[in-house]
Amino acid sequence: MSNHVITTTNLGMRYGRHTVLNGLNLEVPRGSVYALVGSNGAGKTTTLQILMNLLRGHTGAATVLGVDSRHLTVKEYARIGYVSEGQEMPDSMTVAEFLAFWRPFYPKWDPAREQELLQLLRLPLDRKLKHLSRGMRMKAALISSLSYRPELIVLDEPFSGLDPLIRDEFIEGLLAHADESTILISSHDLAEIESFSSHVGLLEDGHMAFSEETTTLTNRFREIEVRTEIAQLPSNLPKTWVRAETTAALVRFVETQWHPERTASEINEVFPTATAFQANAMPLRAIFVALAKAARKAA
Amino acid sequence: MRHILHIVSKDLRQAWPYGAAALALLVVNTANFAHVLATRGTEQAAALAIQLPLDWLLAITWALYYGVVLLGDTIPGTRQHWISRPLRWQSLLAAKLLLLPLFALPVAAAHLVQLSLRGFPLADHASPVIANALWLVFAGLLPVAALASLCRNLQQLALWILALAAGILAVQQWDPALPTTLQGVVNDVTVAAVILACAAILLWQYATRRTAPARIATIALAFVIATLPHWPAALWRTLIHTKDNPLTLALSPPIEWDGDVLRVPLHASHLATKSKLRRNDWLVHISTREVATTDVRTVDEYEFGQAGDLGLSTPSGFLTDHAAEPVNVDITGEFTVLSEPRHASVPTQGERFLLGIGRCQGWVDKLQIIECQSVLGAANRLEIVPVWQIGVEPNAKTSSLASSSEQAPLGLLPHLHPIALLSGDVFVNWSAKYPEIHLRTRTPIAHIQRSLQLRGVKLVDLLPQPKPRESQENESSPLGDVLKPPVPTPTSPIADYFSPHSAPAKAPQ
Repeated sequence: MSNHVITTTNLGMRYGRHTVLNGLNLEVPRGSVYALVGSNGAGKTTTLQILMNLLRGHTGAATVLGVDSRHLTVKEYARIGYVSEGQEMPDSMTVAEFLAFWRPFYPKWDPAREQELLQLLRLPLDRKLKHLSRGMRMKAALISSLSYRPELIVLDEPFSGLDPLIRDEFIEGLLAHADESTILISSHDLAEIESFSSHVGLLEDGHMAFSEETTTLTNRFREIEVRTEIAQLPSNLPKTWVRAETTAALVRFVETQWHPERTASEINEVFPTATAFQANAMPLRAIFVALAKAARKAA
Repeated sequence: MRHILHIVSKDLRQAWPYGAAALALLVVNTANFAHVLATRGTEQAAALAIQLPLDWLLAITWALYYGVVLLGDTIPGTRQHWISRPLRWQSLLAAKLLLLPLFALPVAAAHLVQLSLRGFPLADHASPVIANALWLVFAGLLPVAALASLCRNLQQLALWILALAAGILAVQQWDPALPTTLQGVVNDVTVAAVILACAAILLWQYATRRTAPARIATIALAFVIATLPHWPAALWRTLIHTKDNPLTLALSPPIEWDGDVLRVPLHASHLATKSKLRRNDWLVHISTREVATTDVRTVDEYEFGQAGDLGLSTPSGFLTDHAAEPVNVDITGEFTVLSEPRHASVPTQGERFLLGIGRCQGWVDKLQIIECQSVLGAANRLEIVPVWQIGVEPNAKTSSLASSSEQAPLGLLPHLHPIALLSGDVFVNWSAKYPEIHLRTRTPIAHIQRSLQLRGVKLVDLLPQPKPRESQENESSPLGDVLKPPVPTPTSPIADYFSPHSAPAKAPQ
């Protein structure tokens, strides 16, 4: 059994002349909660839709649960739960009818788990889907995608437009019943993702800027503040420093390969007049913003 | 199969308001039809006036109902709740198509009710009426299904239907000027092409969901199909491998009848020396003394029989039929037969040409009987192809009648109406040239007179009805009053049309 539930190799996709994915390589480890992050238009939704065989990539290959994504069959779909932002639901159905409709299609549908999720997410069974709020509809979709204990859960921007309370309930429902699953979640809501994702990949300009465990990522990024008197930044800054800027008696930058001793040594080398420096841990959101701005500046 | 039925059940439950509306309109339509039959004068005219709008409304409602059902699981797009589920596209498509026979049941029931109101025994006609309803529903709703598979919602579907209808109407403004003999074939081909195109679009869309190329292909196919009648006649003849070697046949009175044999003088022109007519299981050889060019002249005697060499050349100048089985011959006027006939001879129309795709024959007798139906509605024109039943034994005749009902080519055209069943029970010889109607039927003649509303027209019963049966049928009829012989009404909107245009034909003995 492969250690990766999802693999893409040099995946390419374009809409007309606009290239959306440009040689994307992605590996989602089994049992992970993988957050695929990126700015709007980075290609997150396109990637997930190719993985679900809703779109065909123009180049490269993608495998899901060991099967080429272009050849996914009902057998694989019965092991996948897919919930996307703005999913079109059968509006005239009630929640109960919606769940009852899908039940026979999943041999592993667990009514007990369905009931647990219904109670946890407090969804009214007799309410028609068209009368539910956006968040409640997402909950209904989530319940219909978790009740059969899928091996892989794919969530495309699930938190978009949800209020904080609903979002918390959604995440609670997801985590409480996804212990056996691999989760691939695309989002630009980094604050939420940081709290529960085990891996994170940054999609930028159609390719993966980085992909690693969340703890490793947060451990290697630091926002550094150096007290020193310089008129302007020197040109020989290490390549691992991004977003360097200077104000009166203070230099700020982001160290992308934080190592206490090595970074201190480099600071002393670049700023011989430095009197002190401080390294601050960065939340995922700050890391993402710093990288995005750096990339934009470089571009 | 379990999943298919599960989807069907879901669809029926979700779209029940539309289904209820469609059924209610079907009931209203049938009730109005009964009202037309049961009334006279202005009341009947009023009922007739709303019949056509009702028919259209009914068709639109059924299309809307089916559209809603189909769009419950839309094909275009990537955010539908069902597309990343363990749901096979084959199951989804099968579930949607399985609704069509379900829809046909109430339609068939309505037609059977209409038929019973006309005094026809239901037991004899149930199967052709059901077949007719199935065809009606499939041919009517398959295009809706194909277009719905290209649309994301009802508004898009309505736009597509309107746009295609406008485009087709625009093309139809251009007069095709096809010979009459080819029109039947072209109509058959058009119907077959529409069905095939719809089936192809449906399969493509459900299997691949690649909507953009499907939409382009749909527009292209619609254009090609709409222009079919405008293709040159020579091209059509090449396509259907026929030679332009016309034969013109015409009847002229008197018709002779000796109880067993019906003899009809037959004139022909442009007749090939040797011609074969094939229809149903019958093969008819026509041979003539010479090939005429323009003259109308008496030709040899023809004998119709079962498959085999039945040609007979005795220059008596009569059409003779000794067969116990029903024989359908179009003799209402002049018509053209090709030397390799596929469409001019009544039963051969399109038979070989459409072989393998459902034998979509367009039978002239049906078409003309349909025109009879249009007379009931609009009183414009009546051309009914006579169908002679020749037999010796009364039982054999009954058997022939029943057989004719079964073989009657009902249900093969979408716009058929139960009145077409007249060909099974009522045999009519009527046209502008022969304004006399000859009937032989198990149905009391008054019923037929009533149902056809033939007032001021002489009816000749070829085969006297057994009185006990007639009285029994009258008693058992749910519309006893309605079925009383009508009083001739000179002001009837169709009375003028039924007045003789020429001397009446001599009734068979």
